[in-house]
Amino acid sequence: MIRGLKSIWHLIAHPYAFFEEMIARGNCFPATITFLLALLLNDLGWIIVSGGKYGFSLPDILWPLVSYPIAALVIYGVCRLLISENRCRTFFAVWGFSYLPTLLFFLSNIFLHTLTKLSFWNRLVDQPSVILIFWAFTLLMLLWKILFLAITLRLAGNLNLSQILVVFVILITIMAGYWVLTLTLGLAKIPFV
Amino acid sequence: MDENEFIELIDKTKKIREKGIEVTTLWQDKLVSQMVRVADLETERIEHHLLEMPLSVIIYQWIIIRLKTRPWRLLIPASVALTLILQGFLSKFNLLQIMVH
Repeated sequence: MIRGLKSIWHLIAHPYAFFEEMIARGNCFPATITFLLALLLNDLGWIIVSGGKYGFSLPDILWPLVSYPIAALVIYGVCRLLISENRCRTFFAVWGFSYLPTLLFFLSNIFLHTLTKLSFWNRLVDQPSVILIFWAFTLLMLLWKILFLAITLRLAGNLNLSQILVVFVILITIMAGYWVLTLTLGLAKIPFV
Repeated sequence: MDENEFIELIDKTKKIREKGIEVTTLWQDKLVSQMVRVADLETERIEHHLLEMPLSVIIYQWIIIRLKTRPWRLLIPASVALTLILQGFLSKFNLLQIMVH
């Protein structure tokens, strides 16, 4: 337990060094666990907010579940097209850690809902000032995730700064397409990535 | 690598530049990774050497260092600034009230 908390702190405080270590180990298990915990908190949050009134259909469960392997494969594919010769396993060993901001986002929303009955899953709040705090926190989590993506591209993909920027543009385009797809199919208003 | 070795590395990089050879990203990354390790030793000496480098390189390396260790020092101010910019933009066009209601 203490070892796990130390690892999480190492990931938060020294993400670059942490990713380097994880790539050297090549173990996908910790990254997968991080993703599954984020997914669990998402489902748990939905159950808490809805008061257990609404269940889950099969696509509700399967769609977010496949998002991690799909995202890792897309990032691997784009890096492979550019320059990277690293194995797919390397990407899986680190990309899952980018779900730590997602996990904390859902955790904070569950906490917020417990206190105020408001959260990301239902109508937030009527106070613009509170909305701004929520936005600042959401943006912080988003920037943190982007940082993890940049480190993944740098270390797992062996890309330099200009190549990372190119990959960012490609991934944003793919992400926009993915978002439109989830909206069209009615799977989610905001895709789980 | 101790601080003296690090300073030697910077000098070596500088000499390569003077010869007109472009210092590669690999060199820069190596430099930055070493800077992170020695950043707490004697910041003033490192800053002195950094001042001799081009501004763009300094800014790039400063951002990289900030993001490599304790990234919240950069991410928190960035998210607050982005929120304020967003809020200012939405308020200007009365979009904030529309979004709330």
